[in-house]
Amino acid sequence: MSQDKDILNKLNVVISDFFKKEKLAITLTTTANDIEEWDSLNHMNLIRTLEEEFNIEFEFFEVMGFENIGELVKSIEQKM
Amino acid sequence: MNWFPYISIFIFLVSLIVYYKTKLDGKDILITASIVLISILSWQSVLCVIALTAATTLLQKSKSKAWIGVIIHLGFLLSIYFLEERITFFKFGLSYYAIQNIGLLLLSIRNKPQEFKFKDLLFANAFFAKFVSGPILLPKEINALGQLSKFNPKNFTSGTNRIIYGIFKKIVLADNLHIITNTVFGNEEVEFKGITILIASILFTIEMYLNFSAYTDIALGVAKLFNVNLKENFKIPLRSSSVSEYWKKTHISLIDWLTQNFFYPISFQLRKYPKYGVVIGILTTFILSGLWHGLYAGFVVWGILNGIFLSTEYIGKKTGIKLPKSIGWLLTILFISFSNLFFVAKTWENSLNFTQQVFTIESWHFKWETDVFAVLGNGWYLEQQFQIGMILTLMLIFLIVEKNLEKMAKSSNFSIGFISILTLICFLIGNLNDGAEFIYMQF
Repeated sequence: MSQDKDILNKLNVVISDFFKKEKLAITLTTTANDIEEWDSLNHMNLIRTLEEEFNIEFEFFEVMGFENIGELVKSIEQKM
Repeated sequence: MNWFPYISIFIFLVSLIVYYKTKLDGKDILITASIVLISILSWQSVLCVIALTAATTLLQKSKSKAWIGVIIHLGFLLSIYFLEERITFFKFGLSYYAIQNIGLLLLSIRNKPQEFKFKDLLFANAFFAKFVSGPILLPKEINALGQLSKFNPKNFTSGTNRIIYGIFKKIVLADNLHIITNTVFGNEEVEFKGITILIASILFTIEMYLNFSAYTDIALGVAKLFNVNLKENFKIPLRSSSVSEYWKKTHISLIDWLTQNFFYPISFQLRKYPKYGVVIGILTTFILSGLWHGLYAGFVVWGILNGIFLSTEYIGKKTGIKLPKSIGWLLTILFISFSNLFFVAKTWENSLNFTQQVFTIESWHFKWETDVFAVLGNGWYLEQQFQIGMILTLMLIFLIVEKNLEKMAKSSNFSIGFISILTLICFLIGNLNDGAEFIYMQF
């Protein structure tokens, strides 16, 4: 559980940085639609940034299946 | 006499009664009604949609089979351009449901075998509200159509509002604008001044939006009468302050389909080269979007231009360039309208013809009254001045209050004012007899 929190905190920093925003208030239920700049053009570049920051690799359909930040956190946790 | 509109309204009313007054399955009723309606248009198209839906159902079950399915669909799509017109009677709606099927088959190939039922797919492909011009659905959206529920008065009023709104947009705004744009784009052999062509292309951009979104309003409204929620295809795009915003709000279902099937896979594969990945993804997406409209040079140039605008904007944004909203809006409308010049020109000769006239210096020596107004108005007597003035004023008022009108059109409240005013304007100045076609029915 605490690892979830660590991942979420780090995600908050990385995603905020990526979109050049002051700290975003990302929670497990946040979706791409909640963040204005997070569009299809940026999507895979953000995924790449996350791969680098967490030192992991995603698969395409895994990425396509993420419905919210919670599912992303779960997937990162399994890979770490 | 053309009986089709009367017969189709009759079938529509019968299916509405059967749908709500009997215990028969909703999908069965709508599929039957759709097949009857399409077969009046062309029985070959009915055979085609049934055959390709059956093929998709069978071939979704393994990777190698799904590839065969994709090839069959591409074969049908391409055959339209190489066969004589008297043989291609099967083509109604094909470009919409064929790529819907291809999307599903690609999912079988890339992810895992799919298990869609024939009946659900046939409904998603042939439902009469969406058969001729979409919206195109993604596999998960086909799933979401699910079981159809019974009578819901709220959906019934919002459906009715939406249909009337669509008819108003089509016969009052789009068809009247068509009279103006057609003076230029319907006479390719005549020489025009650059400014006349540019103004006509801006008006064409507005006309095309009104025409296609009117179709979508009617389609979504009709579907709503049967409690079916189809996907929105437009989100008031003409207020966009960037090209990327415009493409998030225009023909959404086609762009979503291309994004899922091409842009995402390409930008994922090339994610280690972020800028290149996105640019290659954008260009591929828009060239394919052009080709989807037809195998014409004009559509390809249109796609390439939009790809270039969007890529430039993307790179500009990444380097921190930010334009004021008003300038962004103006540039977006100008860029999109310029690209639409190739869209409306369709062939290479016409495209060259129009662009040469825009880019020659002599073409920019002009007199407003004789070279612009008299051309666009089909003459410049008091009558034409009145007509063009009325159409453009109405269009401007509409674009200004569009947000509010759309809210009322989607509302589930019955508003006698909204319905009676729109209907009245339709009868007063709508093109009831010689309206133009729905542009997107030809694709």
